[in-house]
Amino acid sequence: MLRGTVDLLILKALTHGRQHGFAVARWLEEVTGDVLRLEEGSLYPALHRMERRGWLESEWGVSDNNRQVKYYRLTRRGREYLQRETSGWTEFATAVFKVLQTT
Amino acid sequence: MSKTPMWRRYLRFWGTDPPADVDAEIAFHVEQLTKHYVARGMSPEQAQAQASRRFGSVSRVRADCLTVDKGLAQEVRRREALDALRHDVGDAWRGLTKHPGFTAGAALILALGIGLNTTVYSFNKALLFPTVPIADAPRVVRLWVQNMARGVFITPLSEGEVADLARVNRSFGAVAAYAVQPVTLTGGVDAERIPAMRATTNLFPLLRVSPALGRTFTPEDATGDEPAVAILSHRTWQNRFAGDPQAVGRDIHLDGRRHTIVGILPEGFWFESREIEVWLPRPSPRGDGARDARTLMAVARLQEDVSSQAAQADVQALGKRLAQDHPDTNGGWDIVLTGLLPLGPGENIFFALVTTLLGLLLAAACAHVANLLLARGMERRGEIAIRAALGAGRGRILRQLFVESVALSIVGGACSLLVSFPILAQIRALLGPRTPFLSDLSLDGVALGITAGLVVVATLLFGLAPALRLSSITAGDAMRQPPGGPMTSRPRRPLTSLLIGLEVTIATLAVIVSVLFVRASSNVLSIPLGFKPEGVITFRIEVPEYKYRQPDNAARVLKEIHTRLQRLPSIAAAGAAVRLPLNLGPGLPTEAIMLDGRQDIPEDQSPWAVTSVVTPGYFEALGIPVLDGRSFDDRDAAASTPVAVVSRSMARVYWPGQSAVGRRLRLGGADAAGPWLTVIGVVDDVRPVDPSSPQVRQLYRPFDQGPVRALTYFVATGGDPTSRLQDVRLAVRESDPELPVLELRALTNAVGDVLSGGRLATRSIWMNAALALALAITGVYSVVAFASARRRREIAIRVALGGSRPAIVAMLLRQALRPAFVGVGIGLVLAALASRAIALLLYGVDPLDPLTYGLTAASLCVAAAAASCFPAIRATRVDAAGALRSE
Repeated sequence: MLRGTVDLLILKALTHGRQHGFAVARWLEEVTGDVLRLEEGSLYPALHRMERRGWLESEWGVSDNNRQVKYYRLTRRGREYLQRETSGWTEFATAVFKVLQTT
Repeated sequence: MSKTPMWRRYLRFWGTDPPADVDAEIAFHVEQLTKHYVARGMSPEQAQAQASRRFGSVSRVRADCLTVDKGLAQEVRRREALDALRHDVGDAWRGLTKHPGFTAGAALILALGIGLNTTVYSFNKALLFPTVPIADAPRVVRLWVQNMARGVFITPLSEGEVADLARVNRSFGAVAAYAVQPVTLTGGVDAERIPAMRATTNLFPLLRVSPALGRTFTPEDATGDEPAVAILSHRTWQNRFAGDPQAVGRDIHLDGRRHTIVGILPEGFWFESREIEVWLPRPSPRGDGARDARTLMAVARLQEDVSSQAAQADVQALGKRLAQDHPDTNGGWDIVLTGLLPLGPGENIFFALVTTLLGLLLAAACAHVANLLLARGMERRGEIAIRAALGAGRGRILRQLFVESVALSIVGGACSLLVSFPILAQIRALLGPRTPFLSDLSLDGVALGITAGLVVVATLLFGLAPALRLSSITAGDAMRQPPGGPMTSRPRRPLTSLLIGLEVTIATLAVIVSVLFVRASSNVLSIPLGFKPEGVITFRIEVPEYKYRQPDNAARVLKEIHTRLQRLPSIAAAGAAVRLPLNLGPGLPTEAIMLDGRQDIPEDQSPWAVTSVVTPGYFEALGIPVLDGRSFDDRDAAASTPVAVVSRSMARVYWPGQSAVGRRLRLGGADAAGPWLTVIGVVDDVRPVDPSSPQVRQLYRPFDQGPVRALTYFVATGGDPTSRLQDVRLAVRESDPELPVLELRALTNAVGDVLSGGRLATRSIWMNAALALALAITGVYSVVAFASARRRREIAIRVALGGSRPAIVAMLLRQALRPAFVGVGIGLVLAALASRAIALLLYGVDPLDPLTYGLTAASLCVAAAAASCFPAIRATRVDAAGALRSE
């Protein structure tokens, strides 16, 4: 996978509100039809790294089944970063797609 | 940092625990994943295996997360420290802006203190340790002679003296001699006079200078054989030869003679004057050379193990021997050694004194600011007590006070630049042109740093005691001791009394010494010049030898210029002399004389006079009154009876109680063979720059009977001199268009230049005195205000109980003025000691002048009383109920 892609997917997953790591993994599996088949453990270093960059912030809370769990939430800077990167990605993908379409 | 779950927060009271957090996160995920697979119908074993496969390496994820978190923890620590600092700075800023009066006052005091100190330090450093482009410059010394009896201080040496010094001294190896003398450069569009130095060939090795191009002088260069050689300064090489490397080896014409350029000096090098363009070799002085013509400057480099004191003793002994060997020419003359800048003992004491005074002022300023901080700290007792009660640590409170001191120092230091730069610029503009050491005088960054650092340290030291006292306040204290102050009327802490005493002492000392100085320099400035410079044009003509080889021809052209000037329309008078009528240099040339019929005068008191050669019309042009007999006129030609005119003081000293007119004298010592000169007139004294100099014994001879090659002319225009400058220039051009007119200006300007140093010193001294006084008054005021504010409650109770206000004011005054009076007393004693030390510089002023001492003491006492009155009276106006209720 391209470097930074996981970051974007995580940020996208968090656009609907705070989530814990497990929920992010489930959402990705569902949306992509599990095409990516990523090692779910790799989400955590990415989450921690993005927290340090100030794109995410975290808090401990209680899960649906009443367990203590760490929730992540997008910050304003994270949202801006996602917007910037999304348009960049779209351009990139369109370009690659065009190239592949030429016969 | 994430918020820790409550349950773990209790366990980890002392801080976050990233490993535990990460473990909890991972465990949760794997558990949920397993449940997820079980829900999809896997067996628990299968689900667990699938989950751990899907998750990946737990240990790697854990390690990666912790690496990221560790960085995060460091960042958090850093951010917290930054926050705390920002908080402190913010607090300090708020504290300072909340009391603009206090802040402005403290910053102003510090600005003046730091600014003046740095300025004077920079100035002294430039003078005492001049930055010159010479290797190991402090070991380079200058040699001079002086004759105290004749009022000749440090003056150049004679050929014979230099030769003897070079031969027999034990303190330095070689002695290099030189003389600055302009030469005429021809070959360009116009003939030009350019500054030149003729130096012995050992000068450059002695200064340890190697050329940028070519070579320096070799001993053979000085033999006088063709071709003559010259060395150019780097700037001249750039300006006149456009930096052409081929310039070395080319010829230039100086004084009508061909010189080959053999070397270019390195960039930035200068010696004696920055203006010198060309360097010429001169022969080494010879022991049998002239001993009475003192025109040679001399430098030497001290040997490694010789101190300058030892060298001074060495040359002094040598001077005594010379006086024995050559009593005629060396009797009464001492040899003196100075640094590169010839500072006499008087100047050294002066600098030391000014520096000490300013240092004391700075100390007073620091004490003053500390005192203000202390006063404010007392006001803030309540605030600090509350902070302490709310859990602020002692360190935190100390840190805040520290940040405040530093902030004040920074503000004061920044403002001090506003003080320093204009003063330095003024000094540079006034003295730079004549003192090459000062032309690049600049603010000394090191000095500024050190002074500002000292201020921080001083305010901290002074501020530390109150800060410690304040920081030990407990919440209980805050309740017990309200801001109004304690009930006890225990005696004032000695610290504040000490501060009052110190500030008043310094102020007394500074004011007395300054007033004495100012009076002395105004005495110096008010001494009658002895001539009238108003409306007089002056200029100088030097007749070059290459063009007028015969002395007669030179004299003729000088005389012709004089005649043309006299014929100019509406000119009151015109005359000329060998120099300006003021002593411009370190000493005027004096000559031994012999009086007819007075051979009985003992040898060590042999008569002497400052001699000058003047044309007819000189006394008239300068308005020097003729008191007896007549002045020179056309009768005094070369072939007629040799005559002289003497000054009033000379007539009084050598022919007391009788008329000098008709007396005869002879130039030179006891065995002189010159003609007898008959005194034909007595004129008034013309003052030398140094007013205490005995050089008012002046003797004038007519130009025709002692012709010279250069004259300084004086034209009394009777109006605005600047409007006649062109006429004067034309008169010279008619005589010889190739003669440059040098230093053409109004005589008032020339005189002003000579006296400007004194005016500058006077102004800066006034400023010091005013500053010291202002500091003392505000200091006393703030100390008393502080003391009164501290005892507001006590005063309120006294008033409430019916105490009379005047009695209370008197009590407060007594407590404030006791240390002030002690300070005045100590200051008087110190001032007496200091002014005795500088008595030499206090012309016409008694160092123990009772009027100055009395008035200063009285005015300082009055100032201290006034400064304490206002806060004391204000304190008694306090609303008793309010002050008590504020508990």
